[in-house]
Amino acid sequence: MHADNLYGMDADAMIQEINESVTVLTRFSGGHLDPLRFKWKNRVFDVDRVTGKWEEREGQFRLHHFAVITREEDYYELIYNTRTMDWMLSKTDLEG
Amino acid sequence: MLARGAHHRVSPGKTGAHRLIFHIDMDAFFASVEVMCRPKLKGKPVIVSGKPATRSVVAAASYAAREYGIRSGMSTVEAFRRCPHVIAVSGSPGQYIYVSLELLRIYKEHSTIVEPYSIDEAFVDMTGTECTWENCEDVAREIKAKIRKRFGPNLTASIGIGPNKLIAKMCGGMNKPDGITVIRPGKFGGVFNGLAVSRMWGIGAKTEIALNLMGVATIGELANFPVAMLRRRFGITGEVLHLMACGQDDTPVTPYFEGMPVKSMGHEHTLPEDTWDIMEAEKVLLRLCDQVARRMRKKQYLGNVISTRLRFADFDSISRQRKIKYYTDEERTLYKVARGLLHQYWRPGQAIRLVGVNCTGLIKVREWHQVDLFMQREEDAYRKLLSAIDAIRDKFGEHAITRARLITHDTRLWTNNRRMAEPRFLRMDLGEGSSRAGMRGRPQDGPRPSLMAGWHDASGDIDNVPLSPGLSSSPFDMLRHQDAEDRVPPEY
Repeated sequence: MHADNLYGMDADAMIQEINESVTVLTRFSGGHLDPLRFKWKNRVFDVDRVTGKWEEREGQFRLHHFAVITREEDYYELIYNTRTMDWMLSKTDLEG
Repeated sequence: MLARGAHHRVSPGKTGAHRLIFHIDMDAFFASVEVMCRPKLKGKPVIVSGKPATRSVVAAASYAAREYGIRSGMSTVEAFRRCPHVIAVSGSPGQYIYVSLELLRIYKEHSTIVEPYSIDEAFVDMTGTECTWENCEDVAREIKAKIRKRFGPNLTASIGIGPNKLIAKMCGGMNKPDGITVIRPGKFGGVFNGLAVSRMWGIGAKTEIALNLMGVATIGELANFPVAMLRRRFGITGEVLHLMACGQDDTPVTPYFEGMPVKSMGHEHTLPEDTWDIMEAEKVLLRLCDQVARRMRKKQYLGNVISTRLRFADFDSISRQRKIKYYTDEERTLYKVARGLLHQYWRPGQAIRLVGVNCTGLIKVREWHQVDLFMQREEDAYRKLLSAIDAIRDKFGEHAITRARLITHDTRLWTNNRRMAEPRFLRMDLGEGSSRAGMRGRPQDGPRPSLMAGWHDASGDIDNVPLSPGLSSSPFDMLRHQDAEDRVPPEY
């Protein structure tokens, strides 16, 4: 038995790490940025609402995290890297 | 003797009856933030913790998880034993910090005097604001409404209102979650006198046992117990205990922008597995010293008392300290002293569970401090090296550069004759007397650089750290550049 599967349960089993670059339609407004729509694996996902946003520092650069719920009520976490000016799909919830 | 929060609280003589203090405590904060981001978790047993296989503990448990007896501080394995279908979330420290700072902004709309007590708790001094004893509950409801508007319905707070921090804190915990509790001046005894002394803020298990042995079981009994006897048993703390039991506390709410004077800086780490290998413990200690020294330099502090903390497999803990002659913010000095303490006080044959290092006796860099004149030349060169490392970390993140010894966990790789395996490692050599820290590729000829951490001290003697004969003694044998995957949260 894998050690993580003690009692038959993975830690945060519903979350899957993705860490893939994605294309994101973004609104830059009033000093803020908000993801509106993103494309992953040739599928387009419309962001219904942002349930959480926070920043982390990576040296002098910043990583903007967004927890979003799509119109299909699925959970995704997107990260905007100010150093690479690129978006990454960090993780998703397999159960939505 | 007293648990956290009680040490610098009471000065005799004042009751603080004219103040109006809010204590705002977020309910199951980490778990609630996770539910906020993933609304489908609502109502489910959720814990924020590490992986069950590791020796992580529960950092926060949702109220649904608490129904299974799961509590903060409990091992994750125990949490899964109590509730096999509990959802363990690894957590996002950066997110919690961010939300916490946003909460402080909300509190500051009501008072300029806001003191963050922890990441999910804050004191707000409403004295002199529009908030009065008559409308304080309305103000509390307003704050809760702002939190709900900003973060949604899944993030709730419990608010305690009292004439001082002690009472506000204690009554804040009486009506959780999402509650408001008010204890007006003079009402403390009527509410708390019948409760066990352990319910008093700051009284830990050991103090509770000591009080029980003296025949003191409740807060009311403690308030009426002869102060002289408390003083004889607990010293000055005895008087503090008496005042606390009377609900007296004149500690000011310290606005966060003024900051609290930093008394110590330290880190500790629970090992993934107990270890009998002192070199493994040394390596952890080295990393902790590096982190502490880095923080001290960033905050511009120097310290001269270094302590090492060890917890053994049987959970027995020791902490030993040593004062040095001069102030420092360098990991080589911290490590030298901490490692000496580790070797002096570890118990061969007894596995180590936790290693920690702490530096106290802190002064600000701008203040006068004694430097070791005989170390000056080496010191200058070493300072330039540290500055270069700090600059790299400032720009690319904390993990952009690290000691070679800390790259691998395989202790077999530390042997002197081991070949350096990964060509991407770069080696930084600080020539003796050199004022320039240069980087160059791994030397192909001559003796191989040691993977043992080691360096010369200022006098040219090799310090306690074992060095391979004839090998470079540069403070940082090798450097590693790491890509952008390493992330650190902003400082709180």
